[in-house]
Amino acid sequence: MGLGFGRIVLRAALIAVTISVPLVTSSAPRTKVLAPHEPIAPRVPKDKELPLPSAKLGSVVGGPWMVDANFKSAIYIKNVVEVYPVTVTPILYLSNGARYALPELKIEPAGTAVVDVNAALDSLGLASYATLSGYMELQYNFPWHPICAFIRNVDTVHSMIFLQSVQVLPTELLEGASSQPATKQQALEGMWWKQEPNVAGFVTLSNTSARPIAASVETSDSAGKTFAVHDVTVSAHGTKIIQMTELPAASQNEGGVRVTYAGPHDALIANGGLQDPSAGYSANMRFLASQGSPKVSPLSEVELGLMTGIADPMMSFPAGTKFTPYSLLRNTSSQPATVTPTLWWMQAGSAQSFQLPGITLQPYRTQRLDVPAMLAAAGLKNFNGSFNINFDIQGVYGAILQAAGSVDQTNTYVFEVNARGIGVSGSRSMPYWSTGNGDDTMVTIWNPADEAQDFILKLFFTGGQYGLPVHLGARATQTLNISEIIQNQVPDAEGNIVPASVHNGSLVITGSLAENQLILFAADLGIYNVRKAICGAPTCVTCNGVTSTAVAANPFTVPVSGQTQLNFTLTWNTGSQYNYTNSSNWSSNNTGIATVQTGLTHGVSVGSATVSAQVTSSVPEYVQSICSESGSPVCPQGNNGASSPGCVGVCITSISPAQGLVGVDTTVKITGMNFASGATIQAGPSITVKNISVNSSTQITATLTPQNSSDSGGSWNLSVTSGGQTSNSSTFFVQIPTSLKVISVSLIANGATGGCASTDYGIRIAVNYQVMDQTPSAISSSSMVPQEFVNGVGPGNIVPNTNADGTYVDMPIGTCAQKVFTISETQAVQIAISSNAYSVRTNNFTITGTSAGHGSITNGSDISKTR
Amino acid sequence: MKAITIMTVAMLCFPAAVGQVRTAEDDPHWPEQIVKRAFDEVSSGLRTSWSERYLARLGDSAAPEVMKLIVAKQPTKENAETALTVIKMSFADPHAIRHERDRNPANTLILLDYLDHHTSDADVKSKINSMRDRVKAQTTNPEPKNGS
Repeated sequence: MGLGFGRIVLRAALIAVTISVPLVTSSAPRTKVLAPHEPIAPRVPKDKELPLPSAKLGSVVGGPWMVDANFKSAIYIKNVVEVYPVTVTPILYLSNGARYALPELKIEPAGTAVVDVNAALDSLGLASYATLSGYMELQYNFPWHPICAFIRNVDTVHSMIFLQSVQVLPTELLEGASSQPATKQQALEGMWWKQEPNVAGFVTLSNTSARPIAASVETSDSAGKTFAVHDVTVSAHGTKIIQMTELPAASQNEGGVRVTYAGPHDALIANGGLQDPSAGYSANMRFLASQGSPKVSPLSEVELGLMTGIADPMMSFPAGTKFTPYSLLRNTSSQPATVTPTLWWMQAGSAQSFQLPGITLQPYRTQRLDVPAMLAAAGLKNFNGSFNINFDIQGVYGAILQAAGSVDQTNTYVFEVNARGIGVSGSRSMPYWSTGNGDDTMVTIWNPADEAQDFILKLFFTGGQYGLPVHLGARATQTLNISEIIQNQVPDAEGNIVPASVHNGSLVITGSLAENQLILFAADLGIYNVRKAICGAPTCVTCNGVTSTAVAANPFTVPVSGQTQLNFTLTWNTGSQYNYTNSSNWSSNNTGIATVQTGLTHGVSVGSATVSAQVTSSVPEYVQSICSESGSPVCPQGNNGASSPGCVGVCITSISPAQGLVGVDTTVKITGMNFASGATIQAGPSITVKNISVNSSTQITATLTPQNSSDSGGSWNLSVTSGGQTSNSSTFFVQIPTSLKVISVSLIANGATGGCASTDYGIRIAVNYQVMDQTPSAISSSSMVPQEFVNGVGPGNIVPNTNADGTYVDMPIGTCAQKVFTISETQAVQIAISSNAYSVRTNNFTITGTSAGHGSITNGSDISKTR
Repeated sequence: MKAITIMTVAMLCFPAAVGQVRTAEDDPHWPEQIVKRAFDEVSSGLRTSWSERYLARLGDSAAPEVMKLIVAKQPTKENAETALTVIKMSFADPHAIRHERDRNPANTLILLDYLDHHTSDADVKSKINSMRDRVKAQTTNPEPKNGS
């Protein structure tokens, strides 16, 4: 079982399919599809590359992994970065949420690593022959998500295989995340079908969050009517397997599965399987996240390499093995969708097609297509070979869930096919191929354009890479057998071969000119093993593309009437950088200061300006793992842009800190350009400037002292004069203590310092305040003295000074007595700075003592406490 | 020579005075206001946090003001007990006393003698003695501040 593939090709090229029926080609008119012909941005030479962005913690998660006496589980990890190694920490979570971090793996550039889960469990002292399951997390520190991975659970005794892809763990679910993930109602939609009556099913739910999640699994018939419900609670980081015991007795042969839960987005991983161990039948059940904001737009998806008729003898299946294709669709949205299938196959080296009538899929309806009848309609009733079904879908984007493949007459050989979105992209990677231990790998590539395209199939393996040119005519399909490529030992354009000793690796399909060349293709890959009767491959592929953008130099500097060349660089996930300077629109936010044309920046007058670049046509975006279940099965493209601040002549780009307290010295760092010894600073009549020190041409330090008066408050323009030139102005904000913000109010315990005795009536509290400025923002300074007038008497110091962060605690506040009382006290607070004071707050307290040990205090707004 | 010295002291003190935060606690009438307020509150059975806060900074400078009030109000047993409570609050935390000179309880001991002399109540006399010992002990060997 597993992923579908086409017919093996002997020695090469295009498949020549034997067709034993009269050929019927499509007659329906269709729009001509052109291949992309965009200019290709040049690669940045190694010595001119920009430093990578900062590394950050990231994770992908996937599940389940499953082991028992028969099931073996392995995690396959590909480093999608082709020029840097990446270090990954695999973490296994058991079904009860127990966490086991495995030793770090260092994966070479473009390399692949395999984690044997059974062996890992044994090394942890856990019996891998016991029935265990859970999910896995792969952690790394890298500027972007550098890996693609999948889990392969195989029971060779019963010829069953289940493959699980991974998804990026949302930032708020990462270990040590500071923000609490938002909880919302979530829904995941799946599909079940029975290949034969004994097929049973299961759904696995893995909770990647730190809190339990209550979930509901509803099984529905083909019309979307629910006939079974399973309610479960999945513990934090736990995994639950729900047996769909209702399936064998179900009167229908296909339907839907919906998983609902309240929790963070993507916190629950849902997967499932359909199986009949007695027949060696197994198939994967995929789940699609319900579309939050449905967008209706057309989408084309293709099921590649479906097999029909007698198996190709080259594939070494038992004599008489005959395949029947299947295809099911489920509309997971609340709106109807129209799906128009077109069959594509090869004859005598050219592509043939037949368009079938459109199908309307009502909301939540599941429909099995009668593929043999579709073939018969196309005149392919007795066809032996492989073909594709292209679906033009009009409905909610990405809402059609598909399941397809080919099954032999014993239901043992199941070759699943993943629907692939059709769209323009850059290169795309697939995480694994294998030719060892009886495995072989088939790669099917389809050119959906009405003109020829040239590609390179690049095989990565330990110690090298190999590029195979692939020319595909208009709408042509080609299936490549990796074992044959290796056996051929034909050197590629760079003289490389794949050594015969190599049995696994990963691959990428690129345009023939460069990885950032835009191309239009669909591809699928299948790893099969006839002896073990298993077939499978990762469902998801990597869309290679842009991970970060930069305009350099950043910041830039240019003299008045001078010019400097800026470059716009895009960094790909593979680690390569491309120069899009000539393929971008450039602009300046202040053409009175600087103008720009194709990156060439001219200084017009003194000051600062920001120069921006944006690509003129869309470029591929990096998506680590994309598949039809992701809801957006087509590699995305974006109009990337970046900008760089800079200076013309003497200029200021920043002041830090950009604010200071009235009446107090603030040492500031002025960053900018073209500062020279003897520079002076102008800050206006209310700010005294002293201790000016020109540290470098880009940095000055100075002490600013605003006059101690409320008139000094607010924003003041500051400029630097150096070498006879005066810079642009930058703002320095003078803070005036204006209000107090209550941070906390706490009761002083009986008998504690400042508190009442346990037998006293009344209450004593402590109030933690933050001094705020006029914006209001916190003032961080210990130069402030909180003072008070109590019932008009004062001022008296509340505490000697504020803390360095501008907070202070006013305690005790309140009254203790030996009798019942109610009193009112007015506390007017001011903040003194040197010889001046600024009113910040008035508290009109009402304090009561109601009985021994009891009392209350309130100011009627933000301070209230009861004892 | 004397005139020069005075001028020098004045010049040295002036910048410091300009840069300092002045409060009502620098006002000579401040102790009178605080003690009167505290005396009234205590005699009516209340202990407000504000009176405690400011009395604690007065130390010995509270005693003359208490003496004035006692003389004016008559040294009754109730007034004597109120005065003792005010004295206790004035020396609640010797570290909080604003001026070093007010840590010496000279005036307070005179006040206590006055109260002792004007009462015949054994209980009040006992409290006076114990307050005398406490004030002496606290001011000659002040307890360390919290955490030190």
